[in-house]
Formats: sequence, structure tokens, C-alpha cells
Amino acid sequence: MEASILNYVFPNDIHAHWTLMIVIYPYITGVVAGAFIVSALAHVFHVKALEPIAKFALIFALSWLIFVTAPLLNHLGHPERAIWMLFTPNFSGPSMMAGFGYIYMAYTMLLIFEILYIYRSDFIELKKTTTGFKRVLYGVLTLGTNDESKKGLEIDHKISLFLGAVGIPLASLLHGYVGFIFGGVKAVEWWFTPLMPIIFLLSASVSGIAGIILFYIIIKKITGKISEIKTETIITLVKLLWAFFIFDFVFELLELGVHAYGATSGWHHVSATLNGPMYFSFWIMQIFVLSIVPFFILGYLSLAKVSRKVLLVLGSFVSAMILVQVLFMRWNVVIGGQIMAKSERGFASFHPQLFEKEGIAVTIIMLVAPVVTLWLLSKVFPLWDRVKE
Amino acid sequence: MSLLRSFVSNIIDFESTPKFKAIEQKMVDRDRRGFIEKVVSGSIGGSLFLMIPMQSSLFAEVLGDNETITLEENKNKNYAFIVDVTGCIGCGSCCVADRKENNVPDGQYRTWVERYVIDIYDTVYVDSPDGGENGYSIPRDDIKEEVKDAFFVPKLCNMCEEPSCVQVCPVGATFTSPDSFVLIDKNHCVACGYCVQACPYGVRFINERTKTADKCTWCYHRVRKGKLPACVNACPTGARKFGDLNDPQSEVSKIMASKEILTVLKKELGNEPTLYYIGASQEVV
Amino acid sequence: MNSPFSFTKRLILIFIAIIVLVIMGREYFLPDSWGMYGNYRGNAVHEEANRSLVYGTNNSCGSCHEEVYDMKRVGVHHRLSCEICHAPVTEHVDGNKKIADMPVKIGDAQSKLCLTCHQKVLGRSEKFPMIEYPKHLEDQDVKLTHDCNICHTVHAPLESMKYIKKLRTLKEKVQE
Repeated sequence: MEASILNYVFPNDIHAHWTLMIVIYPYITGVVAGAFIVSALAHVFHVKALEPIAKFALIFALSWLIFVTAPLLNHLGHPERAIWMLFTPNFSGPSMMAGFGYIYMAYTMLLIFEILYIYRSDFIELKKTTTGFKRVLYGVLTLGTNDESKKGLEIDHKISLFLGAVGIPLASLLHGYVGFIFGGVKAVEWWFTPLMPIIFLLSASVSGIAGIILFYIIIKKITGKISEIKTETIITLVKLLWAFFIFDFVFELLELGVHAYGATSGWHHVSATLNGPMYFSFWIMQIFVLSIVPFFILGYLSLAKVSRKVLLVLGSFVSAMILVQVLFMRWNVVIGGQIMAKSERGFASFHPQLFEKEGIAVTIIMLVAPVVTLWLLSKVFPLWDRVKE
Repeated sequence: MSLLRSFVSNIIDFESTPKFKAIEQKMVDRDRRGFIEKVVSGSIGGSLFLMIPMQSSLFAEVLGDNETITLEENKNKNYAFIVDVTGCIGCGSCCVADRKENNVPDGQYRTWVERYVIDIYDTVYVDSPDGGENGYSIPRDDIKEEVKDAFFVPKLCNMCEEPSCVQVCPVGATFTSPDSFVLIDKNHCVACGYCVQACPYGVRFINERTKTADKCTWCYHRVRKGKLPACVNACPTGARKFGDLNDPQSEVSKIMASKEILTVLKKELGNEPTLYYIGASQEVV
Repeated sequence: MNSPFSFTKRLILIFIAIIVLVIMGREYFLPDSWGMYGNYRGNAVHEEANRSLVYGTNNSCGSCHEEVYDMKRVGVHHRLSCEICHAPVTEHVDGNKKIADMPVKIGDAQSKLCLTCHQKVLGRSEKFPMIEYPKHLEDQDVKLTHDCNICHTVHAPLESMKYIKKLRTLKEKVQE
């Protein structure tokens, strides 16, 4: 849009209020939800090829779950009052954000409980072979029990299955409600669509699966155990990623397409934003470079006969691309919706700074922290079952 | 001159009252010679008022800070806020008054005035430098085409009956009071910013001093003391009107009862605003 | 050795403990006036209603400054808020005691203030009295160093005009 003399934004609307923290919050919960779904497929639906990474997926989800509240607490003007979300939630709106307290608490409990059940027998073994602090820790994590009977292990298995099953809708809720947070805002045309929860959930699944592929390969490579990766596992994950990604991409394009066809005055403003200030981040990056290109790479990996080497290298590369795509998608939704000002006559602005309260440096720290946490957790929770010789 | 008198008499009919005529006569009957000398020499300045006879005070006013209208009484009123776009001169007095009355930080606005300029090709240019607080004495110099029309539009909270902001607040910090005012509890708000996103009219913001959400409250604290909102009190032309629709003598009631066409902003969103506009053409968003 | 159910039993206990903690927390922290009128803190309504005023009304000024008030009330500036040209009454008076002088704009600052409304500007209704400045001074055959108050007496701007016009015709007659 050349003529900036035509630009007008309401005085309170000039800068985006929801910035990087709100971009990465759905990103982090998305990875959690996606990783959990992978683990549930292995555990609950007994997809054999995914069994080697079932535990890894859970710990991967946990390492990101720990940091879910960080961007939000950083964003709030009064983080010390955050507990009101739990004590005085507005269920008469109902405010979707009010669901956060209970959904997050419920899901955290579920994930931790499931992990404790799955790892209980491992920990009882490890208790015997470790000393000092670690021994005490394992004692705590097994809640002081030492039962290794067949009945006990059966109960462990049944309940973890139950938790895994319940966890699927709960994980969907953990991320679906975020989609509703945006989808329910009629004031912002770019957000107001019933497809928003579905699009968010699908891209969450995509980010989780891609994250698992990438980190599985990287961790095995770093620890020199790349040969332990079963080709079957990666192929299944890649196909899963492609399938979810197709659904995700189709829904995103469908949403755009129907609105473009209807061409309401609201759409005119959305398209001016997408073709104007959002052109690079939306069309070039999110759609072309990070959606269309990965679509073909994933298709190739899924359908053609590729060598293991190509599978691992290209698989990790395309997973990294997808992880970036989901970040761009979150950016385009959150920032784009605000840039598309409510005055319907211009664009608001957003210029993230490196060192500010919700700036780039903090964002990077919050995205790196889960990876570091994964490493720390791997010291306590063995990520892989012992390889059977 | 006669046009002016008719303009003035549209606002008040005080001039035709006997009281006014009496005052006028008294002024004329004063010391003529002294008066003429002083005026001709140009020294009388602002002291002309000394010539006006003393009047006993028409009433006593106490600037009380106590609630003079209880919540129960206030519930029986049905307030409406009407903005007459044709009357707004873009002086910015409303913005000045609001900023001081409500301690609004600079760069943030509970109310603002927009300037609309429409050229002969129907292109609409809108701006609001400093929210219109400094008035609009300086015209836009960046419009090359010939201008067809221009007007000023005050903006403030629409005090919706179905407020999006109340619906989305996660902690119940913004709410509709029993007397139908949408208010914010500054001690409870966590400043998540959801209400700011949800408001279609852009009237909410996160106050950088209190670090909570904030917005125009139609000066609830003034209304509960029987006074007009600060912006209405400040408006020199009466473009901003506030009153009780349950009082048939109020200006707003008379307007509602008349054939005057009232509009609301973004009606299609279904928020049911109770802020009405007179003379807001279709360009106003 | 524990029973096969002991782990689950302990976990359920922890689960219940967390729920109880949340419920107890709510009971403890919930403000007293919550729910008084709705799903919000009822006292917030009263706190907002009790907020002190900054501006008064013209009547506040009139309760002391009767002459100016009476004069202004009959002129075309009757609707103008005293406090907009001067300052909020609470900066001048506390209760019944004066705490500071009211700022009064004079000279150029005053003319500028008048022009904030009266400058001829596109967008203002033609019915509203507007002038072009300093053209207005030239048109009225008045010294360019005059501020608005000299002819207009800002509290009742058109009242003095009647006499000034009478005086001018008088002056012209005298000079003939």
C-alpha cells in the first residue's frame, strides 16, 4: 500500500499488544499436544513402528510443557495475579482463556501421572543400581513403592493406557482452546472463523511430529547411536507428518479460499494486509517456502523408495522446515490479526526489539530452554528402552 | 450577524428572557462617559465585566466527593450518550478534559477525535494526530486532490449491551455493573490484553502506569455524583450529549423521540452499543 | 513390599490433595465482595463510584465567582466550560480553601486558545463562528498587536461588541 496518507489506525491500536510471547505460547503448547499424539499412537493404538519413541515422545512433551506458562507470565501486566485464572475463571462468557488454568493443570497432572506409570518399573530397577540423590529421587518418583509383581505391572500398563486415551482429547483441548481464543474474536476478521481451533490443532500435531523426528535423529546422531533408529519408525513418522500436514494445509487454504470467494468488505481488508505488510511472511515464507516445498519433499519421502541416508538427512531437514513453518503460522495469525487494524483503513505496526521485556532474546531463551530441559530430563528418565541384543 | 444570533438561540433561549434584558439594560445605563473614554483608549480590556451589576448567586454548589446517587437509584436511570458529528468542531477540549479527569497516560486515549476528509473522487482520508487533543487548527497539507467534505468524529467507549470485552475477560476483571456501565476492576485485572483484542472499537488499552486494562467509563464516578462526564462538560458546542432516557425532559430523550436519524458503529457485530451518532455518514467506522 | 495397588492409591491421594488445595486456596483468597452483583468483585463498582473528581462544573466556579458567572451565562460562551480555558477547579480549590491561583492566559497565549475553536478550519460547520487570523484583525480595522480579549472580553464575547460598534459609529460621528 503506497499512499501512507491513507493509513489510519485507532490511536490505541497503533502497536500490536500481543507480541512475541503470544506467538510462542501456542507454539509451545502445540509441540506438547503434537508430541503427545505421537506417543498415544504408539501406546494406545499400538502402532508398532512408533513404539521405540513412545517414551521419548512423552518426555519430549514434558520438557516443553514445563515452559508453557513462561511466555504468558512474562506477558501479563500483573503475573502475580495469574492465580485468579484458577480461582475466578469467567465461565459465563465463557472466556476461553479462563479454561487455561484448569486445562493446563489437568493436562500437566495427566502427563506426569502417565509418565510415572510408564517409568515405574524402570525406576524400581534403577533404584537398585544408583546411589545418593538419584536414588532418593527415584524413590520419590515411585511414590515409595517397590512392587514389581506381575499384577502391579499389569495395573501400571492398564492405567497408563487409560491415561493415554484420555490424554488425546485433553491434549486436543489444551491446544484447541487456544484456537478458540482467536477464533471467537469477531472484532478481528482474520481470526474470526470456526476453522481456527481445527487449524491450530492440526498445525500443533504437525509441529509435535516434526519435533520428534528432528530431535530423535539429532539425539541419536550426537550420542553415536544412529544405527539404533529403525527405518520403519522414521518412515511411519514421515508419513504421519505428511498426512497431518496435508490436512493442516488444506484447512488453511480452505479458510482463505472461502473468504476470498465471498469477498466481503472484511475480506478486502484481510487481503490488503496479506498482500501488503504480510506478503513476505505469509505468501513467501509460510505458504511457498515452508508449505509447498515441504509438501513435495514429504511426498517424495513417503511415496518413493529412498535410501536410509536420504531418509534421515532429508527427513530431519524437512522436519526443521515444518517446525519453522508452524512458527511462521503462529506469527502470521497473532501479529497479522493486529496489523490488520480495526479502523479498516490501515495497518498497525510491530517491530520486535532484541532486548525488551517481550523481545527476541527472551523468545530465543524460551524456545531453547525446553531443549536444554529435555537433556536434563534424559538424565533422570531414560529416553529409550534398552536395545535388545 | 443574524445567522449567529439564530445559531445562538438554537442553543439557548436565555436571551429572550426578562432577566437577560434587565442585565442588558443595566449595562447600557451605566456611566456612559467614563465607559466611552476607556473603550476608545483601548484600556478597558477584560475589566468590562466590572460594569455588570452584581447578581445574587443563583445557587450554592458543593463539589462533594460523596456518592450522591446510590446504586439502586442509578439502576432506575437509562443513560444514553449521543454524539452529534455535525456539531463537533475538533477543538480537542474533550480530550484535554478526559486526560486530566481520568489521569490517562500520554499516548494512550480513553477518548479521541478523528478528522475525516473526503476528496472529489470519494477517497477518504482519516487522521487523529495526538488523538485530536491539540485541536485541528492546522489543516492536512498532504491531500493533493480537491476536497469535497470534511468532518470530525469523536470516539469513546460504546458501552455495549453485549460487550465482547466482558465476554472474553478470563478473570472477571471487566464486567457490566448493575446500572449497566461496563467497568474495569483495577485490582483484579491481570492485563492479559484479551479485552483489548476483543473490543471492535479500539477503545481499550493497557494503561502503562497501572499495568491493567483501561477504557472510557462514561465518567461513572462523575455520573454517580449527578454530574456529566468530563468530555460532555467540556464540549463547547454540545456535540457530546449525555442524559437519562427515563427523563422525558432530557436532551437525549427529546432526540430519541424526534425523527433524527441515529446510528451506531459496527452494528453488524451485534455488540448493541448504547453510544449513538447523529450525522455519522457511511465512511465513519 | 507394597501391594500392586499402593502406587495408584498414593497417586489418587496426591490428586485429591491438589484439588483440595485449589478449593481451599479459592476460599482463602476470594475477595469478600465477590459475587455481590455478579461474577466480579462487587466493591470495584463502589471504588469506581467513589473516585475523586478532578473537574467540577461551571456551577462550581459560579459559587464563588458570581459576577463572571452571571456575565458568562448570558453570553454566547455560556456553554463553555470555565475549567477548559483555565484549569480544573480541584487545582484551585480544596474543599472551601483556595490552594493555588487559577492560570489565566493573556496576550498571544490567549489568542491561540481562542483560535483553537474559532480558527476557520475545514470540517467545522459553517454555522459555527469562525475567523481567519490575523486577517480578522485587518478586516476589523484593529491593531495587529491586539489580543482577542481587548475587543471581545472572552467571558461574554459578543456583549462588548455591541458597545464597540456603537462607540465606533459614535467616534466616526465625533470625527466628522
